[in-house]
Parts: sequence; structure tokens; C-alpha cells
Amino acid sequence: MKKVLASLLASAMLATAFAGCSGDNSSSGGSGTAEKPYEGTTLSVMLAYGGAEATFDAFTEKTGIKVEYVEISTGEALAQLQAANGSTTADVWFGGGVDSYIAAAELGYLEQYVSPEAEAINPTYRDKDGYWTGLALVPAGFLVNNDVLEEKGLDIPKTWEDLADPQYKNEIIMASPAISGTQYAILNGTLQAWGEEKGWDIWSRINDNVDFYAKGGGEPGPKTCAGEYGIAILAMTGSTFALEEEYPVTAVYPEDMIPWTPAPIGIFKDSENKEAAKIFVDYMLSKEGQEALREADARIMAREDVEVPSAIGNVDTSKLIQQDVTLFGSQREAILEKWDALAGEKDS
Amino acid sequence: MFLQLNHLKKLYDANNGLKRLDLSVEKGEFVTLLGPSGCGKTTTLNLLGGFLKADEGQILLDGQDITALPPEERPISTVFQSYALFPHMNVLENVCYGLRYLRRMSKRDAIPVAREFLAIVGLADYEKARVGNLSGGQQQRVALARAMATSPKILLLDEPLSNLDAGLRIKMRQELKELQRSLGITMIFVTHDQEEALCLSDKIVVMEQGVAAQVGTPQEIYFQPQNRYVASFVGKSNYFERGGETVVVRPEDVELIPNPQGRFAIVGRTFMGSHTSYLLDDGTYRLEADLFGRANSDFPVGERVEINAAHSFTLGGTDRPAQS
Amino acid sequence: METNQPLARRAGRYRVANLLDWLLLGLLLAGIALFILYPILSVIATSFFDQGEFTLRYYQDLMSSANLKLMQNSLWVTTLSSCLTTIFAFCIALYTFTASARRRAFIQRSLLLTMISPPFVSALAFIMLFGRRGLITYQLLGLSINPYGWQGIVALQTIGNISFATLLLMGSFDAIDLKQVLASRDLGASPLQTLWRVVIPSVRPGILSVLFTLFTMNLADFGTPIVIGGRYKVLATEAYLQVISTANLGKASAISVLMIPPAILAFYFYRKTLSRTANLADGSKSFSGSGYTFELPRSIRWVLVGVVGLFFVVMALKYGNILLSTVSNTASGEIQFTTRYFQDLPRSQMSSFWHSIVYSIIAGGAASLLGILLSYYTHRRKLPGMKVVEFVASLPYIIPGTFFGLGYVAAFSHEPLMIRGTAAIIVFNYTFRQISVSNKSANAAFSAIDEKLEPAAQDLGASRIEILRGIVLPLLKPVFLTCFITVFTSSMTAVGAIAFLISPGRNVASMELFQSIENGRYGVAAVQAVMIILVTMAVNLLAMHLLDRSRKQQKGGKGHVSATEPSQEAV
Repeated sequence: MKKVLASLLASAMLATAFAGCSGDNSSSGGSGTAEKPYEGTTLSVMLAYGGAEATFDAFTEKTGIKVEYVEISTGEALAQLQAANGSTTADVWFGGGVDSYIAAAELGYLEQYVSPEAEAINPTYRDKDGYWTGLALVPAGFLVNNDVLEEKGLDIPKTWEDLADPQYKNEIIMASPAISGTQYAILNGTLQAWGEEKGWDIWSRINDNVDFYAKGGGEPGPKTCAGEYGIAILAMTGSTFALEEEYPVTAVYPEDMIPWTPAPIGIFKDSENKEAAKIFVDYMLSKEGQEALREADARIMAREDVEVPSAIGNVDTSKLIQQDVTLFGSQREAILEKWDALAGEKDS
Repeated sequence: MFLQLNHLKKLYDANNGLKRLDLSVEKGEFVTLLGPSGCGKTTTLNLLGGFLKADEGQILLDGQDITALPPEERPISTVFQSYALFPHMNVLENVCYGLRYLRRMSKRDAIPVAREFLAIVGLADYEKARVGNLSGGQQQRVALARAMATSPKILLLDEPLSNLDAGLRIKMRQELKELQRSLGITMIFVTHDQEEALCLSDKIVVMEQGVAAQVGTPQEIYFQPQNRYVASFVGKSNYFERGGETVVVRPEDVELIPNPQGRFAIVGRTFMGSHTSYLLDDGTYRLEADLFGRANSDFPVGERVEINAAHSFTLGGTDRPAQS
Repeated sequence: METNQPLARRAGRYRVANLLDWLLLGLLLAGIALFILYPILSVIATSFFDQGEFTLRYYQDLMSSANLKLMQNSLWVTTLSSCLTTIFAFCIALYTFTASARRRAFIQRSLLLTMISPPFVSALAFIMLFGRRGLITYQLLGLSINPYGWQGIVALQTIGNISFATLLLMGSFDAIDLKQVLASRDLGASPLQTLWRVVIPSVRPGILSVLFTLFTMNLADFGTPIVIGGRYKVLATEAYLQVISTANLGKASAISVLMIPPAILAFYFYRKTLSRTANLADGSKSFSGSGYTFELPRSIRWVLVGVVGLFFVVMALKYGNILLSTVSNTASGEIQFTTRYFQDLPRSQMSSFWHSIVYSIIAGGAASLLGILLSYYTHRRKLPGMKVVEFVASLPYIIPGTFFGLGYVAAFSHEPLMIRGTAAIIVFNYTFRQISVSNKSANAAFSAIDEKLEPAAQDLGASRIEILRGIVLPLLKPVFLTCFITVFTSSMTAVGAIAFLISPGRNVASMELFQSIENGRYGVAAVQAVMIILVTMAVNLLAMHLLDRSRKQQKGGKGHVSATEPSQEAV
């Protein structure tokens, strides 16, 4: 008797597991109304944009399209794609490092789509062929721990060049540009702004002040808040500034220039729900969607008619580096190689 | 001819295994395969049970060629040396096992049959006991009951008494013999203990290095050994050369006659309880003499004696009358 | 009492059973070939091809001096942490060897529970307690030491593996032949001398076995060095980072392939010591349950007590810190209670959690069953060629999880085996990664079971399938349950292989935890970790309870012997 019960239980579990899991994937489209043509479909999203999931419910309410997501760094996602030769069960790629998107586009993993909403977005923030469109700009800056700086008698750095000052030895923490999209943008952007020779020289001196490079973009912030390090180099979003209330830290925009990276959105070529995906992209690029995103996690949104939120402090948008984002992709290998030669010891 | 083994052969390498065996067994016979380790007796048993595949030869059982059948299809049951009782079942379940699987009986039908056999081996009250809690002797009986319950055509026993202590072993021998007589089961018994073989068997197969050295009744084996191997393996032997022949005298057939001019001197004496073992030497031969009874137990060491053979025989030949 | 069925029909039943038996074996072999061999070969193949062309480029790259340093680093930390763990584990195991039964049971339970350790949280706890601003090092002692680097890796790997290693060693101690110990005392040796001359040589094979197992595990560990390695580079992390930073699958594969030889070497030594261990278990009365206690000299006792005490303190600190972090921001250095982290749990947390539980349960059952079957066909039925299959089955344990996960992505992304993105790929990965665990346990259990049991059953007419169902599996129930616990626990907490297999809607709790940590959400991570720990503990306790019940059954708790005492009976 016990054996019968046990096997029944086992089969029941197996059934729920597989049914619950495999059912959602298929697009049960066609059950929609004229207003919500794709109601009932479920979109699969690879997400690398902190806080965005809060906007999914509003989207579902508006269009009837459900959203399933998995939080995964763009580096990992790209690796998955490559190992599988572009085949994937996901429909939309949301946020993360633009260099991954560029690489993916080159490998033919992304679908071309220029949303009608893209007109309201500055062409610098989107791919000219339509493989990806920027959702927001992520500026980069410093997060300093006031207690630590005071204790050690250090000045608050004001510019990128200040970071090269030997007084900050072992007090700076930042992510590895090989892994963090933001950090790579900082590296590439500043190199573009300074020019190669000056740029590598400054970075070489900054490198002397660093103990080791964090393996994730999310590490520098908390570590500086905890007082382990005096200065963190990181992305400046609303949540960065919110840290000021909890910890003795200050978020500082560098005065000489502000590197930035676009947080893109794209559609996978292998997607089976392209039409629904396009609706999703349209929403995220619309004024309504952009404002919702901004509420979820304050950033400079890509749309020109959406105001810069106050939650990210006083950002002087004129200081944003005039950079060519396409170079992020094409120069990546060369820059990372040079970086490895320079900082390889402390970086992985 | 109930069981017939024809040219049976199974070799592990050039020297080990069963080289060749021909054997006939009547229904209801108790046959013992006797020999030291490595002689091929266990191999033969495993061939009969179906656990080994023969290189050559045939096994015919009750008219049927079972050489190619797997163990589960042969009407043969085995009592293993380690008993191999199933530890997660109680005694009754163990005994029912063969009834359920070989005989395809339902649980309900099997239980009374199993109980019968448990009673036969004297363990009627131990139905629910767990086998791990039983003594060696009890486990052995359960193993026996389990194998017998299926009413196999042949029962194989692989040195089943070797794990028991001396007193128990002798007792179990008796019981086994009575059981075999009363139930009339054909049994094939493997042992290296010649006493067991002589006591239990209708027929003994003395094996040496993969072949049968001699097949015969216990009396034949003991009183008419065909070769030195059998003569020495079964019982003790004293060898003489007489007229170009080898004459064999058993120690118990040697009579001692005290004689100060006797040829032999007593050079050793060991008291064994029921008999006393004397070592005699005449400069050429060294003999062993076993004398029974209290009266014969205290010939002093050093005394000279003459001997008389109450009975002797030549190897491969016939008995001889008494002679000195 | 004649047979109830004619011979022909009986024969038919056996034919069917034999067919099923072959089918079972076939499925097992197919599973291993498909879900272990094929993915591994895919990855190895990747290391030799660059965009379709055969090349040795990746290996040549690896021969550079920088990469030699990498290997050096890996070997250094791995050897050091393995040795340290073994020493501590030995001390604790020795202590339980000489302690009362109650203490022994308590320690054993504690060890089992502390094996539940979600990834990264120990590293975080370590940083928070002993880091640059650590609660203990900085707040308490005013030191500002740098936990990042090889010392952090060694410390964490050591602490993390002690429970597992101790449990293994305790098994070795339990199997010591009591008679040898008594003989030694009888011949005049003091307890200390007996320890040195008899006890330790007896457990030496066990110690070596643990050492090698730890070595392979630590070599493949990528989670610890990632969090606390700082600038110290090791092979396992390098492979992972190569993949996610430059998507250089070729190079990552090459690195992973390089980790195989030392692991194979360790496995070879493990097998050699295993064969020697088998000689000890010859049925003689073993130490456990004999009622005899071993007295050691005071000074040694105090050292052992110290180690055990230290272990408990460290564990208390670790779990205490995790618990505290769920309700307070430990990084800020103050204790303020908040329920914020519970509210901040990601939307997908509950469904991911449910997935974790279901997948891990299925994997636990499947891996245990398959491992037992593998052991059965290899060591009981002694089918030719199965030893090779056993070796293949142990490969996933030797290679880094990331490698294995990538193999799955590469192998199963196109027809006809397109299972990427489904639950199935995760379950298969969990299952086949851990078959070797139950295989090894079953091997040990089988060596203690009379070899003649199955022939006896066959002799009594049972078909192959009936033998499996009625004799083999019931006797191995304890193995099944203990392996279920082990596999379930590690599936709940695994990240390495899974990192590349999750897809939208198909996430698991351990990956959610990983993501939280990657994004610096330590409070939320603590909550997720505690949830994982609680659920795993609950399932483990349930399984342990079932295990105890089945043990009692086998020992004859239910059976009654007749009124006559065994000593009086007529036999």
C-alpha cells in the first residue's frame, strides 16, 4: 500500500512540475480582443535591469500579455546563447551591457526592430540598424564613505584624474571591465574622451590604487557602504543615491566628465512571440512605460520628453561624454586585452 | 538414473576447475562430493545449481536436459554455506520465498506449507523471528527448511555444517540424515570433512584436482581405496612395500603385542579419549596404531612390540586376510 | 507438491523479466551516455575548435607563464585547504570515537545540519565578521585585516567542508575492528600507543579517501574564490569568468579540460585505497555499538575538545550572522530591526522556490535509484565493462560545475534533444551530476551484504526483476534515504552547473540567491538563504525520520522470539 501511495505522489509531483513548467512557453495567442490582440501570451524576458520587474504588472494589465523573467547577467546570457548557437527560449533581452548586445547582433542572435516610439529617442542611444534600443542611460560616478575618508584624512575625489592620486592607495574598489558593462563603459568612454595615450597612463596610475577588481557590478557599492573601502566606482541610479540615507556615504558625480552606458532592450531572433515582444518594446519606450521605469529605479531615461528624476542627484547632463557607442563593441577585444596586460594581476 | 552428469567440464584456467566428471545419481540417494579446497567440488555444485555455465558436458535430470537452464528455472534448491537468509524478512517469509516464486503459490497457500517445513526442522515457534536474532544452528535450519519447502528434485548443500561448533555439527548430521531418509529427497552434499561424508552418504565421490578419484559407497571408499590419494584422504593409512606391491593397513587394524625383542619400538603416545594413538618405529617404517578402550591406553613409550594387521588391502585391489 | 504451472509458461515469465532487466540496464547506460558523456565530450570538443576549425590555440594560450601561475595557485589553495580540513575533521571524528553515545549522536546530527550551506553566504558572513570592517576583527579587536586573497579562500573552503569530511571519517572509525583494539591493550599498549599503532593505521585508507575527495571538490569550487579571492586567481573561477566576460567558450573549455588530469589522479588513488578498505570489513565485530569506550590522555582530549568547540563556535557565528542579516543591516555595523528584506524579495521568489523543491526532490530520488542500480549491475551482477561506466558516471563530480552546465547548453540546444529552457534540463543536470554519490554509498553497502543472497533468490525461483524489487532495493533502503538527503541538499544549494541552464520562468532558489549577491542585495540574500536552509532542513529531518524507522524494522524491533530463551533451546 505504501508503495502505491509513494508512486502516486511521485507521479503527481512529476506531473505538476512538467505541466507547470512546459505549459507556459507556448504562445496561446489568438484568444485576444481587438484592443488586447495578444492577450494570454506569455513573454520570456532575460533581465539585467534592477527594479524593472515592478513595471511588468502594469504592462500586463494594459495589454493582457503576461511576463516571465529570469535575472541573469548579460555576460552569462551571451555565453548561453553562444553555446546554443543563438537558440533560446527567451523573447526579450532587457538591460545590461550594450557590448553584449552588439556582439549578439553581429552573431545574428537579435531581431531587427525599430519601434515607432524610437523617434523620441536620440539616435546616439540606439543601434542604427535597429537591433537594440536604449531604455535609459546609466551614468557612472563615485560613492565615497565619509567616515573612512575622514578617518584616513583623505579628500573627496572630484575628477577621474584625482583617483590616480597615491593618497587613495588600497581605498578604491571597482568592478572588472571584463565583467561589468558599466565599468567597461567607463573605461571605453574615458579613453575616447582622453585619447589613448593619456587615458592608459591615467588608468595605469589608478590601477596602482586598487587592491583587486570585483567580479560583479553589484559589489563595490555595498563594500564601500560597509566601510571596507573608501571609494567605489559604480553606476549612479536612484538606488545608489538611496544608500546615502542608510550609510555614511555620499554619491558624487565627477566634475570633469561623466561616462555613461545605455541600458538597451532587444528582441531575440529565435523568439516565437515576436509580435507580442514588439508590443512590449513599444511600451517600454513609450512615455508611459519610461515614466514607470523611472519610478521603479531612477535613471536618466532615453526618451527626450521624460524628465530627469531628482532621485539621482544633480547630474550635469552637459558633462556626459560624447562617445560613439558602436565602438563599445568593435573595440572591446582590443581594449580588454590591453587592460589585461595592465591590470591582469589584480583582475581575473 | 535420476541425475546424470556426462563429461561435465568447467575450467577457470589450465589447472583450476572441473576437468571431467561423469556421475549417476539414483532418486533418493545421498551423494557427497568430498575433497580439499580447489578439487572442483564447489564448481560441480555451482554447475548443478545453474550459477555457472559448463564448458562441455551435459546435465540430465529426470530425463530432461537442464544444462542450459538458468537457476530460477531448475527444480533444484541450494543450501549455501553462509545460509544466505534474507535479513529483511522474518523466518516465515524466508521459508515462503521459494514457494511464492518457484511454485507460484499465493501468500495464503504458501504459509501452511512453510509452517509444515518449519515444524519438520523444529522451529515452529520461530515464525516471526528476525533471522539476524537466531543462533547459527537455527539459521542453518531455516536455510534447510527454505530450500526443502519447494520440494525440489535435488537438494544441493554447500558445506552447510562447517560454520557450526563441534557438538552442534554432530547433532545436525544426525538430523540431516533422518530428514533425508524420511522425506526421500535426493541430496548432493559438498564437504571436505571425511567423517561427515562417511556418516551421511549413500555414495561418495572423492575428488582430486578436478576429477573423480573414486566413486563408491562409504565402505568401498574406506576399505577399498583405489589409490594413495583416496587412502590418505579418507582415514589414516600406513603403507608397506611387500613383494612389489603397496600394502595399506589402517591404524585401527594394527594390533600391538608387547615383546621385548619386538621389531617395533613405541616412540610416541597420544591419548585421544576413545582411543590412544601410538607411534611405532622399526628403523624403516614409521607406523600409527590406534588402540581402543581403557585397557589399551597405557602402553609405555619405549616398550618394544610386535604388530599384527587384523586387516589390510592393496590399493586398487581386494581385501587381504590378517597378517603380520 | 508439484508445480502449479507447466514449465513452458513459467519460462515465459522469466523471459519477460529478463527483457525488463535488459531494458533497465539499457536505460541506465543510455542515461549515462546521453547526460554525462555527451555533454562532457561537447565541451572538450569546444576546446579544440574555433569557429569550426580545429585548433590547439587555446591550449597554447594556456601554456603561458600567467596561466602556469594560475595552476600553481589552484594547487596551492586546494592542497592547503584539503589538508587543513582533513586535520580538523580527523580531530572531531576522533573525539566522537571516544565520546559517549549521546554526545556522538548530537555531534552527528549537528554535522548533518551544518552541511546545509547555501553558497556565498558563508563568504559574506566571513567578510562581515572578519573582514576589513569586520564585527570581530575591526569592531572588537581594532584590526583591519584583508580577508580577500588566498587566505580567505583557504579559510572558507576549510570551514565549509569540515562537516562533510568529518561524517566520512566517522564512518571509517565506526568500522574499526574492536578485537584489534582490545588485543593491543591486552599486549600492554597504552591508549595513546594503541591510537598511534592500531587505530590510525585502520582509518588511514579512510583519511586518504577523504583527502582525495576534498581535493577534487576544492579544485572545482568556483563560488568561494569568486567572492573572497580578491586578486588571487584560480582555475575554476578563471574558467567561469572567461565565459561570462569574453564569451570565450573555447578557452574556458580548455581550462576546464586541464582540471581533469589532477582529478583523475585523485580518483585513481581513491579507488586504490577503497580496495584496501574492503579488507577490513570482514564481518568481525566493529566498534560502533560495542559499548567499549576508548580513553585518551588528558592533554590530547583537551586539544580535541578545543577543536570541536571551535567548530561549534564558528558554525554558530556563521548561521547567527545569516539569521541576523535577515532582519538587520549587519553591514552598517549597528543592529536595527527591519522587515524590509522580506518585502524586497523578488517577484519570482516563490515560484523559483517551488521549482527548487520539486526539482531537487525528483533529482534526489532519481540519482539515488540510478546510483544503486549502477552499483548493482557493476558489483553484484559483475557485468563486463561496467567498471568503465562507473568511472564515466563519476566524471561530473570531478569537473567544475560550470563546465558541466555549459556542456548541457551545448549538447541540448538543437533537435532532436532540444530540452534547453525546460525544467527537464535542470532536473537531468541535478540528477546525473550526483549519481556518483549514491553509487559510492551503494558500493560500500553492498560489500557488507552476503554475495549469495541474489543467487539464493534466483535458486528459489525469483526472476531478475523480482530479485531487484524484493531483495536488492529493500536492503538498500538506508542507502537510498541517506543519498536522497545528500542529493536533495546539494541540489537545493547548487549554483555552478545551473548558472547556464536557467531560463525565464524556470529559475531556482539558489540562482535567485546568486543574483541577489551579485547585485549587492545582501539583506534579501540572507532571507533567501534562510528560506533555503529551513526547507532543506525540514525535508532532511523527514528523510532521517524515515531512515530511523526502516533501521529499526530491519533490526527486528517488531519480531518476537518464542518464550524459550536462546540459551536454553534444544539446538
